[in-house]
Amino acid sequence: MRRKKITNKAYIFMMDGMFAIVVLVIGLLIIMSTKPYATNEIQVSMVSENVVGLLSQVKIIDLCDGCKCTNAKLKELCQNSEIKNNESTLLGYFGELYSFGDKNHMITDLFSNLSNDLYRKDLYGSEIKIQNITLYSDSGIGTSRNLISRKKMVFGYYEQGNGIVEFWGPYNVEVNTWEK
Amino acid sequence: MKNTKKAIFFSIVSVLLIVLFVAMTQLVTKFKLEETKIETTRTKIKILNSLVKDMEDNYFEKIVYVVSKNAIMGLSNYYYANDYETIDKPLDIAMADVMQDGILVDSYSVGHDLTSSPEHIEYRYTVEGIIEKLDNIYSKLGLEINELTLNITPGNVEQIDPWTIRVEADIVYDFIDKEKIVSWKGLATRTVDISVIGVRAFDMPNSPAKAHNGRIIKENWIVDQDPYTEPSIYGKLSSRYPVSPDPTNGICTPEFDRNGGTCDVDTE
Repeated sequence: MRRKKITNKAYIFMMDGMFAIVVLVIGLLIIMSTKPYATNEIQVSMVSENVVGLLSQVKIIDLCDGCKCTNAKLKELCQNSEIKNNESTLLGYFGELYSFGDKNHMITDLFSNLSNDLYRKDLYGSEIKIQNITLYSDSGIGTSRNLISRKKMVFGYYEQGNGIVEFWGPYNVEVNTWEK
Repeated sequence: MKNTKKAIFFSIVSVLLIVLFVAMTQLVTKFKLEETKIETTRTKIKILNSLVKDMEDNYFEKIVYVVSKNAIMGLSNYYYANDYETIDKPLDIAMADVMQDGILVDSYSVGHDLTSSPEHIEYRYTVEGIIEKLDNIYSKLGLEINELTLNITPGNVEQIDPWTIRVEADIVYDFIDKEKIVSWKGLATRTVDISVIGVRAFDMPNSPAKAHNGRIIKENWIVDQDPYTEPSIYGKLSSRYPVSPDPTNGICTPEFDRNGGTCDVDTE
């Protein structure tokens, strides 16, 4: 009778011990399952890549044949002789406009126009800064939980047929993209 | 007495379990923190990697162009201001001098600062000037420039047509991230074709009037024709003495007299 009592107690201790181990393992699994937050897999990262990729890789000559441009704003700028170097990338062109000091509104208009075709404005937002001056910004940057910031450096030159050669930059450009 | 013993035993077991749990939690938290730190560093390196790649893919070529054009324009301005009498060495050697810091060393080893007043060369577009600006921008992004030099091997500057001078330059770079974890070192060679538009050129090297004619080359200049009188712009900027005409690379002012076959125009 006494031996049976001891066996029962042993079972209870064993079960208690196993229960404690199970609780510990579950606890550890929960803690270990929290991964460092990486935003590179989410969609906003792709939107950001698209925006920066378009700006830094596409040249004006790719969008315009003479002054026949696929983008209305670019066409307008070309017709107003505001494009001096059509071999320049869009980001380079922004840098060139910025170098004049009084043409920042053209960057705002052109970026606004280009971004309409790049991402859904109801889902994502973007912002462009040159030398820390905000030239264009969609709404919602303050409330977004997913924001990707990319930085680039731009500089260049333009030459005119009348012998005028101007160098500009380097400037730092920041493109922020976020999920609304 | 028996119950008290049991209670003490259970208490000890409970305390041990709690201690074990806390210790393991601490260990895991520490591990997680390290992992987050590694992930942050990885992301940072990724960003810096893309910056350096951007530099290699796009900006080295632009640096060579801007620095070379600044040097050619500056040298032509300096020679013009001194009646072309200061041309002391071939253009490629003179370019190699002034590209770095704007100082032209003459054959007596005397340095002439072309960036000081009157400014013939824009200092901010010499290699040193560009490094200062880049350093300022990159340091904010966590990248330091240990070295960035641009070398022109003599003979790697040539006139390829009347309007273009080709420059081949080697860029040696050494960048390091601010935390000294990763560095990027390398050598890149870039070839750029530089337009002579905007450069001053004298028209008639055989004429005593050459010194007074340093007009800026514009789009409306015309290619020299038979009988040829003009050396290339490279040739003109390489010697203060008359240079033989270059039948394929000479250009003349728009007032070129086709009948007389001379490029000689002395007034702006």
